[in-house]
Amino acid sequence: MRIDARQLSVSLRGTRILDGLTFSLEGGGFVGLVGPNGAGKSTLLRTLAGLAAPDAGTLLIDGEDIAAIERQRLARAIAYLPQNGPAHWGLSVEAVARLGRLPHRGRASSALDAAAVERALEAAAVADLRHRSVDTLSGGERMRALLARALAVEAPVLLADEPVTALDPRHQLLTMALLRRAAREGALVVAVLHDLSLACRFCDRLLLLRAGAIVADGPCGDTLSDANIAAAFGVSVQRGSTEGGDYILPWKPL
Amino acid sequence: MSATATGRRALPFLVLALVAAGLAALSAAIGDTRLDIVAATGDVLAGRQTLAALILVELRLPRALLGLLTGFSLGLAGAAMQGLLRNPLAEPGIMGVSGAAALGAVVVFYSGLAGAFALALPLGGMAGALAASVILHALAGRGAGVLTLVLAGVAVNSLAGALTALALNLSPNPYAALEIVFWLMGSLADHSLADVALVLAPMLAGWLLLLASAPALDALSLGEDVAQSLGFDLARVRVRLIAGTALAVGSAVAVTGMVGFVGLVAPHLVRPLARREPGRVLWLAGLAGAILTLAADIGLRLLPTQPELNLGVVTAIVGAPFLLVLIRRSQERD
Repeated sequence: MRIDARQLSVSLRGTRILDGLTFSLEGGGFVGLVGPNGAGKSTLLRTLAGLAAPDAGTLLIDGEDIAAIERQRLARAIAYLPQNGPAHWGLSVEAVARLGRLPHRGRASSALDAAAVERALEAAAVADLRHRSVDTLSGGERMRALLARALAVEAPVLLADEPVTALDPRHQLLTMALLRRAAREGALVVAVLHDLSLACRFCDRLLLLRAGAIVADGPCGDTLSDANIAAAFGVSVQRGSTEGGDYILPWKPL
Repeated sequence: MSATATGRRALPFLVLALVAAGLAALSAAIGDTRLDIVAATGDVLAGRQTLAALILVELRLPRALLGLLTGFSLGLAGAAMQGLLRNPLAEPGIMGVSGAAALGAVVVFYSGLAGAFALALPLGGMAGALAASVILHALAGRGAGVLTLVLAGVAVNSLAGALTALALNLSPNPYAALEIVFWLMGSLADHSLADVALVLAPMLAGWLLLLASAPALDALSLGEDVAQSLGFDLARVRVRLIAGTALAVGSAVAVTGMVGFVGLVAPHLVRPLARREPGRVLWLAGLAGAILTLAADIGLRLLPTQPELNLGVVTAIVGAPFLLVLIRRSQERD
């Protein structure tokens, strides 16, 4: 699956949030959206999910205008995981994951649905928690339960807004590896990330956003230069490298 | 899905359906006059015009059926409102939908339209319920919190109550006013099978609209963005639920008056049986609403009060403390 944005602009209540973005994303890639607070990362993700309408430019999903795609078909193509999304009624983790099969209702067999839910619970490492109510979970466990819901859609595109921010270090690494694996298996994974080292290590490509515009686009080595980081985030960084790759530590505000 | 899992899911439904049917039969058997329900049913089926058959068809059967239909409508509408607004305190009574429906019916009654054609009264009720629902959802669309919405309901309810009182105040005929006051207090008594037939079609249509929204309500437990990303057109979902509520609650109130709190209590009682899934709560809440309404209507006939208590009075006395407990619980959660 392929996403093409051309001169994409989005406004929320009269304020321009994204201004003339042009980029293309393709299946098989793990793309990190990085940038300071208020850069428009979440709005971009919501726009790609069809939840915010662009007021200028075009957004094509496999060559088709996103607004022309019937909602349930779009739901099967694109899974969306919001940041800090609500979970009402204290549903069980398994029930939450099962909601990911709603776009397939009336199409997939219940055995197929059950298998997809099972894979999602395993992948998000919440199979042990399946009978627990989401209200009783820690922030990180809850995030993983909601991730399982998004994975259960088994859509060719997965859009995740800060999927690892609430997680402990081990689950951050596991989740990043999981998202990369999904990309290796052919999906297009786009995630908003704040940890520059994780973004560098796991993503194939980074889009660096600032004030509603893309200021750098490419592999980590090109996008997260000292100059780019200073301009976008206003911090200096310390760098190091180990056999697994490079790491970047935000060091001092400039 | 395995047969046993399906069976386990169907069990609460079957049990509640049986209890509701049993209470409907019991309701038909109970009253001022002793009635051999089996013999009376036999008379009716055989077409014999005995006194027992007459009592059954003219008095008891409409009362039992109205209990079943009204209770199911209120329980189902309560569950649907709670699911759509993601608010455990939502209910047609508290949110002012029933009050506005009553106002609509009173307006029709006063304007003389009620005598013009039979459907006028239910239509008035539906129009009132529709107006209240639209106001509430306009507010809910702006992301109002749990208590803000309930306050909006209180405001709609007060306005409907005030306008109803105004109509009573201006009533040229004190007896008509008194009759309306008693009707407002809610009752299943003194209705004919023709009344039942009148509201049956709009109620069933309302039920269908509400029950068909089960998957959307499930999706909404994860918020509007996720529900939309799961393929639901929320504008359409809202219209369907508002129309369903107006049809079911509006026609129920137009016939039986205001029977409060059934829509609040029923979904809460069955939520554990439905594993808290809002879509699955719908059917069970409808059945629980029918059970509560029939049980209250049977209970008030067994009480040695003279005259008989009104149904709305009984459900309010039982239901209002329940609301207080829920408010307390929602405070603890915040």
